[in-house]
Amino acid sequence: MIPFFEKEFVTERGWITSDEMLNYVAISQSTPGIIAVNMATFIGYRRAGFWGAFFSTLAVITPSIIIITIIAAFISNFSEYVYVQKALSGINIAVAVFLVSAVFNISKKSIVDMIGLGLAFIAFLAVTVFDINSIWLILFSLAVGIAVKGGKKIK
Amino acid sequence: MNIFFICLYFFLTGLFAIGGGLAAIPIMEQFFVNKGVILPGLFYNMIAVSESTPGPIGVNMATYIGFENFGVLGGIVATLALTLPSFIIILMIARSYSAIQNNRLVKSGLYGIRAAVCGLIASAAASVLSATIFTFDKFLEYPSILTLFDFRQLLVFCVIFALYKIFKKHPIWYVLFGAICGIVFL
Repeated sequence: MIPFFEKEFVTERGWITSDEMLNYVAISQSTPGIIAVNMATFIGYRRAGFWGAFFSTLAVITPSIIIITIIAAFISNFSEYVYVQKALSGINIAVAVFLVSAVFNISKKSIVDMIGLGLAFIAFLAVTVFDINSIWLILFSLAVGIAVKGGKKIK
Repeated sequence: MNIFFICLYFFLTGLFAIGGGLAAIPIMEQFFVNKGVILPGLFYNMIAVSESTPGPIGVNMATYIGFENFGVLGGIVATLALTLPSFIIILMIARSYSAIQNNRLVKSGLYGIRAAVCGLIASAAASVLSATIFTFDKFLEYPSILTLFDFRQLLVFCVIFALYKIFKKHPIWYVLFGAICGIVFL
């Protein structure tokens, strides 16, 4: 979605500069929430204040609400058919592929040292084996990150 | 689960999903699948639909889970609840974002969170693998390499994985391919 934002708001409309765009991407990735929603709120706010943010945020989630509602209604009406069930179980294998390769791709960027690897491993075990809520692990890793790197300069 | 809790859980998901939509998946899985609100198979179907349609995956998931439990209105309020923390936080920081971006505490905290999120996504990957290609029930009864995997599912997994790595196309093509494999092969 980010390349789309760039084309629409930087290249075609000139609403924001490409430097601002890079800043918004960095901020949106490091604040809670869905990145595209954060970007929409940000761009809306910079262009038109509170109501700009409000309507951009609503606008960016509206297509999802419409499209997913239609598909969800369709699937729940057809899910008792054998062939649909077979197709859905094949689809779940594709989902396994997406998630496994996401783990590899994201870990290349996100795990930079042994402490990071340790945190990832603890999070994995805590959720998979002990079913500890991920929220606690996010707070824990936030604290560890600050304890380990908070006093030093990070590039 | 009543609609108030659905909203509360999506609000918390929006507040703690740091690093995008994929980070939201393990959190949603714990809130809704582990509590028995959504069956695991349906949850993975939802991921497939959310990956293959336009729009951010986390937002798509929220609409789907909300719709599944409370119809059209459920989809709308779940999505709004997920979005609300983002909206509030961005409004708060939009004036002084450069100060936050270079803040040492923010950077060091993110260093920890990003690493942990990898582990969380790995746990979501492990649960979908154990629901598809692994057959742990059989394995516990007769422990052997032959009972550990469902070999047809494993084969489909390897083929889709190879295609995904080689062609790097939009997820919808692999979802369609998976559906065809499911119909003719599983």
